[in-house]
Amino acid sequence: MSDDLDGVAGYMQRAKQQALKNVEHVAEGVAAETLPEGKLFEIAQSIGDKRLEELNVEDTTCGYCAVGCRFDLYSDGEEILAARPTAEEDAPVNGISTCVKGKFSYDFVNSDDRLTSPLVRDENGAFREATWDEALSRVAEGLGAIKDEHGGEALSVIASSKATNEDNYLMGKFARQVLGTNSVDNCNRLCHSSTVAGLARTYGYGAASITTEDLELADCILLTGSNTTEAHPVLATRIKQNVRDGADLLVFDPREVQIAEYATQYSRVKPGYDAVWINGITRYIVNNDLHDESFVAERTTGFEDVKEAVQEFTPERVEEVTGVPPEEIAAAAETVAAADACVFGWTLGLTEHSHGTENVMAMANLAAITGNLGKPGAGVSPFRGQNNVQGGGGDMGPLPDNFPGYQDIADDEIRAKFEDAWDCDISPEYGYYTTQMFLAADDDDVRGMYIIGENAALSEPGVNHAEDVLRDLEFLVVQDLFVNETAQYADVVLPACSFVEKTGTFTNTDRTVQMVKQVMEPKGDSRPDWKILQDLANRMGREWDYDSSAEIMEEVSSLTPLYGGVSHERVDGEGGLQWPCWDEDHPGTERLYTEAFNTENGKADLQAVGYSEPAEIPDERYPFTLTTGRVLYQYHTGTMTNREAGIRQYSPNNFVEIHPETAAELGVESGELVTIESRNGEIAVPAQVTDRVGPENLFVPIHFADSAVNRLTDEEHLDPAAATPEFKVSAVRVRPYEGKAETMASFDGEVAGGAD
Amino acid sequence: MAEPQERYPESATHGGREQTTDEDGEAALREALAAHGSDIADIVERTDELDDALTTAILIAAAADEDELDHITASTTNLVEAVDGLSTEDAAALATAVGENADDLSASLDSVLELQREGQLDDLVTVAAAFSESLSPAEVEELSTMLESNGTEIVEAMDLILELQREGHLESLVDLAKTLSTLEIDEDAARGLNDLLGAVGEARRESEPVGLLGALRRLGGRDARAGLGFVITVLKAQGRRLRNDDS
Repeated sequence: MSDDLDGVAGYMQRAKQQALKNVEHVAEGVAAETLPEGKLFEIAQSIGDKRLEELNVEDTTCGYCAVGCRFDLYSDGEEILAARPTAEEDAPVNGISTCVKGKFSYDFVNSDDRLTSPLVRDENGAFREATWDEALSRVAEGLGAIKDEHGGEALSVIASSKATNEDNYLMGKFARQVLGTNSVDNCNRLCHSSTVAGLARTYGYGAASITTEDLELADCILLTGSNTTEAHPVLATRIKQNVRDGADLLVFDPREVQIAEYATQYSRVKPGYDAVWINGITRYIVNNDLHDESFVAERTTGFEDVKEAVQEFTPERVEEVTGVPPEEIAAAAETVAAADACVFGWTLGLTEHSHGTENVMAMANLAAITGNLGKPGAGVSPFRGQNNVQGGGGDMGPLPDNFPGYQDIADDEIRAKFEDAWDCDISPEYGYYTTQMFLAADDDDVRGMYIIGENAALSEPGVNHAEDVLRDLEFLVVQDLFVNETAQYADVVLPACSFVEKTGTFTNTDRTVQMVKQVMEPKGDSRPDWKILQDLANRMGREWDYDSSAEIMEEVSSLTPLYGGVSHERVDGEGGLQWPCWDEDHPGTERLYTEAFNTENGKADLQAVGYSEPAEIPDERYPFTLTTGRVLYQYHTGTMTNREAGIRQYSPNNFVEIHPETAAELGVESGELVTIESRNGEIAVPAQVTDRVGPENLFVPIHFADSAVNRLTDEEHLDPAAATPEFKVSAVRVRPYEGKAETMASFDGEVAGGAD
Repeated sequence: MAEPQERYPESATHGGREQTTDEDGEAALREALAAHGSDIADIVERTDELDDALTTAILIAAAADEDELDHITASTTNLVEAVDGLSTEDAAALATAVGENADDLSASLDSVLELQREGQLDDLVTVAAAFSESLSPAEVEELSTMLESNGTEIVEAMDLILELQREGHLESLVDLAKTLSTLEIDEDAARGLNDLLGAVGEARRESEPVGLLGALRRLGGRDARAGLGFVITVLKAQGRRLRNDDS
């Protein structure tokens, strides 16, 4: 009976809401025809106040990119109605700014296809609805059987950087303690893991050294591989404001992205040769004695090795390889050297290469030799992509090689600490990185996967291969908001809930830990990740007993020195805390390396970086270089944004950017379909003719499932240190589409999950 | 090993759940109401009407200030008879039947009852509906302007009209000369009211009973909304007058 009553109450509630919707239209008409404007405002205000009293309002942190915007979200319990600025002290990164996604894109939360009950396979292999009890039992049996027969190492977990720090901590703990595997990784592998590796190797911390304010304090900003205005709009605004006030902006990019319009200098580079032009700048600086001698002497090691290594990058060679003329290298070098404070910013154009770690180290060298670290307005700033990839994807240690806080699992003392805390044995052998998991599955070294909030069937490189792997797994569990492309392969699908339906913390791109607060109840029977993991762990023989995500953070801080002083109470009370935050009395760290680097001797350990090139170099058969990226109105594989009608109106279709000369040679005009083919696959997309790209380059965004660009990318050539795939360079050929146009008419693809 | 499946039960989704719950909710509501007499069931049969009634209630509440609201809700006396046979006992029984969710349900029903309980509202809505059929937006505007200068008189006229309506003397409304002769208003106002009252009388004669549902259904168009706007303006003027009387 109680269910029926819920139904009655729910029904009446919705009837009332429908009436509310109607009344807005009626009131508009009434007001327009009869009321004076002053009265209209008065009425609007009183209606507004009255309604706001009935809404749930919480300040929370955005779940789109990792800028970490904070704002108030308004909900009536059914849907998100508005995002408005919160108190400025609670929004240290964005103040009152938000981008189009953070402001408007919440339809995904209660879209019709939002999964609200668990799914299992019936005897015919079709999905059927199941209770949580049955679904969790099946997962425990499925994963348990593989563990019993082949050992925990035959299992892997892909954690979700969409989820909170607390969720991610438990994903790592679940993998190691419950499943007995170190093969746990996340989307950082597909994006900034080479940043983490490169910066950790030179400076000690795999994170931005700056605080966001430095973007406004800098005299000079060098950006590369970053479509900042589209991928990180709120940061782009701060950069543009600084440029307006006189700062220099240098943009090196294969595409003349929008931020280049504001640049003091834009240089087009050939994709895949970033270390070459960066080393060219470094060479110019050191050979002309423009480097910061005292900083180099006092705070770095390895300078002579770097100086020697960059000598091969003469201006002529740099131009030959990258297309950047000597005068542009010289101008950039002199601008950087002349600046009192320079920020070096980048995103995936620098990292998603088979030599991304080297690219990052070359950039780290440049920042160090010019003394641009540890002071206001200076430092390195990789702009992270996925909302919580810094915290959830990195800091919380759902990683094959690290525990939370980048504590090496191979370190006996550290491993013993976690074995003791988690009451389990942990192998000192590193597990598989995400990209490696898919290769290992070919050899049956991985037999079962637990994929949380990640759409590997679209976001992995070479998705044709990824699909084969997913199909052939002995057991696959997917935990997500939707039955995305990956979930279609699952044996069990568990309905998770979004960031507006749970409480925890995210850590943004400048290391600020910020509160995420529940604004509405989970949809249907969906549950927060941490609760699902707890139920599952307890079914598999453990006794987890967390009452709240705050309790989980207490455990994190007790085991993770970087987060030693982080608690929900403090984060909420202080409006965010930047790590390292060693203990409860530590104020957090605005800027890294003000005194010392996080290395054994406290100095930056500069690494000599030589020549590198893409794994796939254009040749006669595949003469073009394809690069991939983002557009403003979309987000990753589109699971969230493609459920927003307004977004789809702006950005419904996939496309390829083609230079006018190339288009003319092909006889193709904007809007006409072309087929792009690589060694890995082919897709057909409409052409967008533009000189934003060079004549030898093509650009396709990553957001669309029907013509997924990752059918063209390559899963085998990975960065040796970070195992990042080379999303940014694929050798392709292109031709006018020859099939029937009507069969290709619809490109507004279903979209899903994604990479950082 | 699992072959990819694009299809999955809709019932496992938010969209499917919402649909199911709606149906379940309505069914449960019907069941609960059926147990308490056909009068209540009649109300529920017309769920659109409930929606519409709530819409109107909110609209009125939105446009009225506190005193006006008080007047709307407090000046009524006989709630039960105002509704299609729904008695307070029935309402109470209904609330009991839905047990722990009584608050939600009765609050919603209260909104309906509040509309009904004050006969004025029904009348006002009727006036609005009739109005919409007889006046162009320009004429409505003219009336609104006129109200600014002749508010008090017109309010008095409206009071009279409404009282007459409540007492069942609708026919006498048609006799405009008689009505207006008791007031001192200018020609413009008289013409406007003439139009208005003519329409009221006609509506009452031609579509007996117009009823809440019928009236509301006519409120879709721009003109209809303008008509309703006029009525609300009148109501507000009435509220002002009451305040002035108090002070």
